[in-house]
Amino acid sequence: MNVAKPSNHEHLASHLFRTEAAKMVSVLTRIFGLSHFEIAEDIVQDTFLKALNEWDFDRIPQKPEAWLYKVAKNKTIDYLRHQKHVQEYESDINHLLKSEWTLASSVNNMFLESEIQDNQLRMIFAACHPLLPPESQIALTLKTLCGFSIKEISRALLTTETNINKRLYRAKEKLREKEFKFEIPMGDDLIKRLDSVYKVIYLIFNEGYSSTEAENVIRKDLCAEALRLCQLLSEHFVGDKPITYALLALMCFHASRLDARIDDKGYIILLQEQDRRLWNKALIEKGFEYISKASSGNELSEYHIQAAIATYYVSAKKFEETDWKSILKLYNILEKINPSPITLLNKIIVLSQINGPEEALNELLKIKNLDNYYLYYTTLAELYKQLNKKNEAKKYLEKALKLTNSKAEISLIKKRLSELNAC
Amino acid sequence: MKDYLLLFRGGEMQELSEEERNRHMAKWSEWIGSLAKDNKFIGGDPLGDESRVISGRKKVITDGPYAESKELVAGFLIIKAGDLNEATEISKNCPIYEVNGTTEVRDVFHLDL
Repeated sequence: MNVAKPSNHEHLASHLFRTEAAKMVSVLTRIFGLSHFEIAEDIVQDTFLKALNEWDFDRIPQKPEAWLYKVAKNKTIDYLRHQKHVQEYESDINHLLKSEWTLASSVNNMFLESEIQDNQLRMIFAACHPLLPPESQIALTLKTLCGFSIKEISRALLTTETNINKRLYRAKEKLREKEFKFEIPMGDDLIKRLDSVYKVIYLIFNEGYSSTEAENVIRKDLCAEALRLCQLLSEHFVGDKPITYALLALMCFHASRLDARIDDKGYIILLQEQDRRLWNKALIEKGFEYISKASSGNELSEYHIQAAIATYYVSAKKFEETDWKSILKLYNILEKINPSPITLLNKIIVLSQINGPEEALNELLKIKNLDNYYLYYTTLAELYKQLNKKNEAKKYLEKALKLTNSKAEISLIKKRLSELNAC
Repeated sequence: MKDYLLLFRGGEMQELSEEERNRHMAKWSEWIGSLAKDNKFIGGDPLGDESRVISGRKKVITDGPYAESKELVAGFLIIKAGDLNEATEISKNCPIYEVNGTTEVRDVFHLDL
């Protein structure tokens, strides 16, 4: 046996860890309360250590998930018994944990399928709480809901493990404060809190979709997890809303292009050069299903517009057949909802397809606050190139080069520079 | 508000199937949960069959109270209630009667010196 290679049971345990650990942490946080979050994490970790120690090639339990849940339940009950007259928990079932009449059955109940789903929703709302700093929200969501390890989170967010540890530590400290409750918000509060959840999901997706630095596997995992969390949200009555489906549709459409967007050497392939046969048809179909669900009601969110824009991109058989005019109309609406310089930049790129580079360039030069954004300069360069002003185009590509650290982006810009020099 | 001890005797819980037992215990959770919600639950546990009786100045130890199983104390609960009548009403909602058990309600006595 090669010792360096993880054996079968280790593989199985780490696969299950991803899928089940997060569920367990949510369930146990319901029992111990947010302020004792670390107890939940310790018990889950002990459970998986026990699996690693006891499972062997020929001794993997028939139902590994059930085995894990049973061990976690027993460890929880043991812990609660030891702490019976010592510790209080801020959980809504605290009193039921104080008596042997109710202890075991209450813990058992929390592991029922319906409660697991409910507890995961509570965890989503806690991890995406607007009072937590945004970078902590993402790290905490990946840790507690997606079962990512510290190492995986640091790779996904392109930062160090120390940094992620710090973010998580701060987030957990904050979660002890009174304002944080492990519950699903209702009423007016719900809308605000959902908004924050959507943002985190979208950021996780974008991290996977746009980050060209992270490894391919991690990028795909991030996109898949964002989709899974959003689906989880849509399956619960508080999240069964048109905006949820708009976000799902948007992510499906973008995810459908994941494989066509990067070549096998990790280089970016621009939309006009992508092999459209590589687009994932199943995801596109799913996207259209979600779009029709998103269209009920009269809510019109940023995600609705972005999803609608994406439908035009995925519907075009060739780049030249893209319906730019309809897309421009949608950008005009988007600009009203979210008047950010980036929205404007994207709108101008569309404008250049309809009215040509000159008008687009004039508009582009009016934008402020994008001085440090490399895509602003690559767009400027592209428009100058189309106007046959090679020197300006080169100047801006060189400027863009200084503003990105991404290897894939750098090689793309260099490729464009050498094309300019060649013609 | 005074404290009352509810002493449960008997109850043929061993004779229930696992499923029946789970269903029965869910009723205890519901009952105790509702007491806790009204701030009337203080504590208490079921009791097992390991027992000993110690008696007399010589502290003679004997095995168990030798009671018939229906007289054996099966568990206890301490609750809060306004008076004995309210404590009695509360005890009527205990699931123990479904398994042929009985409840004795006693007030916690204040030893004023």
